[in-house]
Amino acid sequence: MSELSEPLPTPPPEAPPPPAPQPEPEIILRTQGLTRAFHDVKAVNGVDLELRRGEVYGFLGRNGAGKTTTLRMLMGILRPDTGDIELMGQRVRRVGAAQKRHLGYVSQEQVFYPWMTALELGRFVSGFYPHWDDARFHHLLHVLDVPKDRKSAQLSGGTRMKLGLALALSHRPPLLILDEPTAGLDPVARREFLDILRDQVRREGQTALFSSHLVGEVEEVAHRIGILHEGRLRFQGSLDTLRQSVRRVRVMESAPEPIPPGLSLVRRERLPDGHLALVLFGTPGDWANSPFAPETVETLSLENIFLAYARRSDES
Amino acid sequence: MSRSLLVKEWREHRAAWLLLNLLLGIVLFLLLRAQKDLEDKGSVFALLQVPAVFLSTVGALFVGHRLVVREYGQRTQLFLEALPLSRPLILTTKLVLGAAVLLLPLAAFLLYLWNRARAHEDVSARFLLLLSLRAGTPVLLGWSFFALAGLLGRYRNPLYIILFISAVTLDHLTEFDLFKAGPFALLGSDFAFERQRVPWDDLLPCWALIAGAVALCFGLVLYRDGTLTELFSQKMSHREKVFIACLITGFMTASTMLGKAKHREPFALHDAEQTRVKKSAIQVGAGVGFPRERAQALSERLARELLALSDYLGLERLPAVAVLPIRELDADVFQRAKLEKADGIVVRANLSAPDFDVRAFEAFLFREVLIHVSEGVVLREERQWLLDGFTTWWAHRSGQEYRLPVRAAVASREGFDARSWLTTRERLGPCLSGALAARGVRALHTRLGEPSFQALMRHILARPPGTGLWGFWTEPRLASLLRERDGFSEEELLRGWSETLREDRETHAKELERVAGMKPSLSLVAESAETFRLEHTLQAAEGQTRPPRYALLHHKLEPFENEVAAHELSRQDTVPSASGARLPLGLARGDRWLFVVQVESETLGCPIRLLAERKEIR
Repeated sequence: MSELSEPLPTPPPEAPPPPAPQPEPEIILRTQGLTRAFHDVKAVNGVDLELRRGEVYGFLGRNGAGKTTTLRMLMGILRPDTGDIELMGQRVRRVGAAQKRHLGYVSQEQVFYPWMTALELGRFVSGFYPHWDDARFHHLLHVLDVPKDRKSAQLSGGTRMKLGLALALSHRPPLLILDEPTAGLDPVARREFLDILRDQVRREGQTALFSSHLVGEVEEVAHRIGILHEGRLRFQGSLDTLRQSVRRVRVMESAPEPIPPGLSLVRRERLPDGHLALVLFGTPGDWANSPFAPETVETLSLENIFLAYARRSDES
Repeated sequence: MSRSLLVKEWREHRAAWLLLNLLLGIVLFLLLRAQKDLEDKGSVFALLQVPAVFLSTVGALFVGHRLVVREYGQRTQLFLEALPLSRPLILTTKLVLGAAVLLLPLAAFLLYLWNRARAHEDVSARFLLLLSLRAGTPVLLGWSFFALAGLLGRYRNPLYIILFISAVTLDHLTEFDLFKAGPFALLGSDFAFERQRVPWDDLLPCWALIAGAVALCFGLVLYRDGTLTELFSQKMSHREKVFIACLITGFMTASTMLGKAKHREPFALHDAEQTRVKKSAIQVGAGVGFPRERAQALSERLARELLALSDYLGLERLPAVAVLPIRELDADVFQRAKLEKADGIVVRANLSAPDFDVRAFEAFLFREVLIHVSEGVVLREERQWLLDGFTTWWAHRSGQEYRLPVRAAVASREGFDARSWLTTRERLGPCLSGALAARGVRALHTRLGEPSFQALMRHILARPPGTGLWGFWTEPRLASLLRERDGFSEEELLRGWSETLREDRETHAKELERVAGMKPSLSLVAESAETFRLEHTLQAAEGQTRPPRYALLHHKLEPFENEVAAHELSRQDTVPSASGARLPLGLARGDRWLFVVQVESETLGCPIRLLAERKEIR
């Protein structure tokens, strides 16, 4: 992970009195130096993730950034080349069947047995989870509006995804891993899916790791996000921190100023009017101490921040 | 093993497996019904070979497809992998379940046979264990192979083709008899009879192969977290298809180009009289009623005749020939033995019979020699009449063909079709069909003249066979040879032949009239709903005398049975009577039989088939 993806310092409180000490949030999942290569290509390169209990963690990245590989390693489907995974306090090199019983997984593509109905799938899957709640499964099918007796081959993409969610939630897993679950869904189905996810997570107090390449939907449901680019985690933290920390500065191309200490370059872009646009990362304190005139600094939308991270290597 | 996965597999595949078992059950039921007298034939346990062969091939392929190919083809293994299941557990469950599905029907049938056999024979625990090992091991081998092939996804079908070609090539090119080793040997002819010896030599390689295949299965499933099997299960790209097609074609071409038959030692008949010709031994055994002097004389005669034939046709080599005198055979029946480990021709004949016809025997022997030398190429139906005709003509060449015209006249009394020669030969028998064909050869000889005729015969009958597929494609057809070499069409040949036969019939009209006056008939009479008896008569036309006796030849036809050789026919000699006679056999409904009614003819010096009929019993 680059310097930008190091855990970010919390902005120091200024005038107000110190707040009452908050209890340390429980870490439900932590990875250290997670790496996986396919032949010569490092799909995931030293990723350090940290998920806190009860949060929705948005895992952002372009297609091919390494999100699915990371999630498949977290699900034990792939074995990391190097790195460790700490799941609910248990440190393992590879997630095994015992750990998987505490995980719910919705994959990018729902490959169910085409001859099974939703109920049959539930019956089959229930055999693998000691805490399977059949009443909850039926309830979820009802809530999600999934036909119980129709074969999975006859279900639409959106309904299959909802069925996948019902299957993943019915054993009440503490951690839910969703790999681009809304990819391929129409806007209405996507909206429904996100509402249900948010509602379930809030009501059940579950933690969700939600990958996507759509900034809008992550912004909508996530408490914290991680931005993955070319296998490396470029940022991890809350949305607010991200918004406050990343800004764009306009400088003269002919006389570029050195980047002040405390700020780091995310992306450099040449503008048509002979200026340079520098996207920089820094704490609010660093920004306050920077020499840039306020009129040259602008805040960015989450989407533009994501673009700056995702396109960094292209044009910087 | 995972119970939930087992339940899922059972629910997914139960209908298919029940169907498979139903099919097997029907086959076994029919076999059991067809062989009611199994106990008399040896051992009921011989029937266990049928499900063993079925389950180790068709069954294993089918189960492999259901359990492995479908899972990976539909990519549902990705769904399983996301569940709290490890890959080894998934594979173990599938392998164990597949083995159980295949072994259970086998075990059930073995129990049934044991129950049936114990009333008649002493079935020891050791024997049952031996049977289980010998039947179960090939099934497990088949299953492990097809499970492995299933994991190879899109490459499994090319693999089957390449393995098949390799096996055939290996068997053809080397001394190693693949089809008598390993699983083939376990299910071999002593399967139901070996009660003591454990066939370790065949069991151990099979077990090693099973272990290897299972290890490879695990290796494939675990290698790179199953990404390899996932990759294999995807469809073949166009480029890959072209590559595989080229690979297989190249492989086939290479194997056929290398098509050199394996070397075998010439057959040696101990204590036989022998004469050497062209480095080959012509051996004739002596026996009761056939003393050494006669054996030596026959050996010299055959050597002389074979040398002449060889010179005429320009044969580069002659095979070793061994002749065994067998008194139990009819004088006009000659048998060729099948040699497994030696090279050459071994024939059996009743050499001491008073009516043994040495020329007919020579014609038979020349035919077998030419088949051997051409490696069977001369047996292609379009030229078989030429083979039969030439060998008969050659055996009767030095002015000894006085009986051929009358035989040919009788043979052609109802017309014939040279292009359907196998049918013609079955209808007429070897003697008359040989004469008929010999007249065609004579017509050809007359039309072409000696030099051209000899060259043509050399080209068709004596040319070393082309190699493999290439040889087959480049093999010239008779019609094109005649046209290209001699400017002579096949139709002209047939016309000339027909003209010769017409003259023969005119010359021997009296004999034809006599034959036409004999009226054989066959009728099936139901004895029960499922069994019939055959009644047969031979009536003579008014003014004609009935022959003193006739023979009913019969043979039960197996499925897809092609030509029935004369020595395969059973015989019932009968004195003709007004009431007719009955074949002392019960005929089951649905069976197919070949029935032939024939009479001996002194004039012709060979039997005349008055009727030859393939009949389905119903």
